[in-house]
Amino acid sequence: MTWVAFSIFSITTLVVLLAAGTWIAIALITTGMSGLYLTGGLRPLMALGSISWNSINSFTLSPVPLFIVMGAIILRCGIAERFYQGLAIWLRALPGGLLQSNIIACSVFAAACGSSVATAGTIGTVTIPQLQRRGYDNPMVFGSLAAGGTLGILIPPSIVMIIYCSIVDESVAKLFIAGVVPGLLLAFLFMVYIGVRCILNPSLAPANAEDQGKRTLRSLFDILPLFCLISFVMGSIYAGWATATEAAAIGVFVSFVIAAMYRGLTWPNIKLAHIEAVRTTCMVLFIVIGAQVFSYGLAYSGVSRALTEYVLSLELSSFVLFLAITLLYLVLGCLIDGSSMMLLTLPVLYPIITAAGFDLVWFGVAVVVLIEIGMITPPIGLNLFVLHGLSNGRPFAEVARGSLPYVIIMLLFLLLLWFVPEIVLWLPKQMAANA
Amino acid sequence: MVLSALSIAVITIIVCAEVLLRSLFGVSTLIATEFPGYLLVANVFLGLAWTFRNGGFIRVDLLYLNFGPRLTAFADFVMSAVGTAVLIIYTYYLYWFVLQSHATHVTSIYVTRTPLWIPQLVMPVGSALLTISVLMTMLRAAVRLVSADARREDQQKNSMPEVDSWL
Repeated sequence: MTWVAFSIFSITTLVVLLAAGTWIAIALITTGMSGLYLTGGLRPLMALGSISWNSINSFTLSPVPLFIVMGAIILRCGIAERFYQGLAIWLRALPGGLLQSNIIACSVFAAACGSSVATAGTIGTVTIPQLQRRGYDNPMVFGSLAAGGTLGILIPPSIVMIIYCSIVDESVAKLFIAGVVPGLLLAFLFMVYIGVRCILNPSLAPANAEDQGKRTLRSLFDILPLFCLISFVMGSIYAGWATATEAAAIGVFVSFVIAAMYRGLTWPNIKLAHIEAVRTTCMVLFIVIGAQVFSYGLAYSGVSRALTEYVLSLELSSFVLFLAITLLYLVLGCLIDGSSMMLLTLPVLYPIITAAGFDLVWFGVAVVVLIEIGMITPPIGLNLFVLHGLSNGRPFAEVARGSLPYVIIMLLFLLLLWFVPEIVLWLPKQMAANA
Repeated sequence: MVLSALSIAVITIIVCAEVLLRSLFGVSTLIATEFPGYLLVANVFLGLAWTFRNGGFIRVDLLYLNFGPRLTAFADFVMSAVGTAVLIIYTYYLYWFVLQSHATHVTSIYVTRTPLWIPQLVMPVGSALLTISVLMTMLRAAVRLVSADARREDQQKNSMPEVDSWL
């Protein structure tokens, strides 16, 4: 079979299976295995065992369940509300008031718990009723929560990044460190946007006389634990004390301590955290196996090589290639959730981007930003659904409209990353210099 | 459910091993680089069937959710039939892989020299259990397909935590 026929076969199989609602992991394995059988008979199937074994028994992936446990503990221990209230007291003076605390609360909380959706949901539960009571503009509230929540996968620790690393064979520590500056910068851009909007139109975020809580030590005490947790985890990676797995284990330990401080360290919480870890880990890592089988199928049949050569023979400038990839992810992001989208496309894209000379760390950060965009673009934007569920009967369009400006900010941000790649690459270089 | 409990325990073991062995006695652990990997494999494969039964496997449900009950049952049947067939082959090759590794006495490259077939054994076991679960789904879909009363199977009926996506 020629590679063209073969790629048409693979893509058709995959699309038909997915459209019929087949579980993504099984669809990938089916496509990969049938491709292998058609090109090489039964022989290449003998590699299935070692592919599965090697893709999971890796040091890269072992932090995944640990970070989920850490996040789930943080999520349930009751720190979210206190954290938000503490933060609100300190950030009230900024233009946009509590909207600004939405962004910061979401980004810090999301970094700690690692789930964008859970963050938007948790912080949203706390803040939406309060902000609506105070007459804040609804789309602004939803937008800030949706966008703030997505920062969780860019600001490390981030599970999406770990999975990316396991596919492209990059160092998790390096990608984590690379995510820090872009994450903070993006959060800052969101805040600038809110600030400008609110200065131009103060009625979006009315000032309220009842918020005269004092900037007490108490409120500081509520803010600090999460900052400590993140700096602990990231600091140990940056300083080179710990690998990502060790940092995750330390993170779990610290999250237990924090939960104990907030009296949230109960047996049901711990149990639920582990159940969630099992469920999510199984789901994602089985897709990883699927992606690896699919990827092996593509490589074995020569599609990867032929396609890469073909793309290179077009002599696209790397910028055009990047635009094409961006477009692909924007379209897919409307249909499929982020990590599945990444796992479906990376087997095909990985050889191409490597051959085209992209920096894999830089590309990883760009992909993560694209996934973030996918989370807040309708019709399939997980964050939007969660917020809509909490919105006290506001129309879905209002949630989507509020998020739109942030999509534009993120797209501009991608462009900025393209022209100034040092935003991503600077910090990892510093780390290398330290070590 | 037994499986899920087992997997949770396995994860807990990973966590405890990691936290205790590394952060407290970081210098002395020789197994800490190798065992988390094995435990992760065990966690993933032994949790597969349970995750599947609880609707934890994600799918692209844009079209699927708009299918009528008949079509849903039909799609479920075809998909799980394909899934079962593929998984049987997959399980067979995992089994073969472990047999090979047992026969050739492959050991880990670490100090413990663990014979690799032991941690690898969970792969065919987990995969076989998943196959059985998918087969059950297929049978249920077949029943719905032939019975007059074709209701949509509610995959999320088990009370799972609300928070779903960790990604």
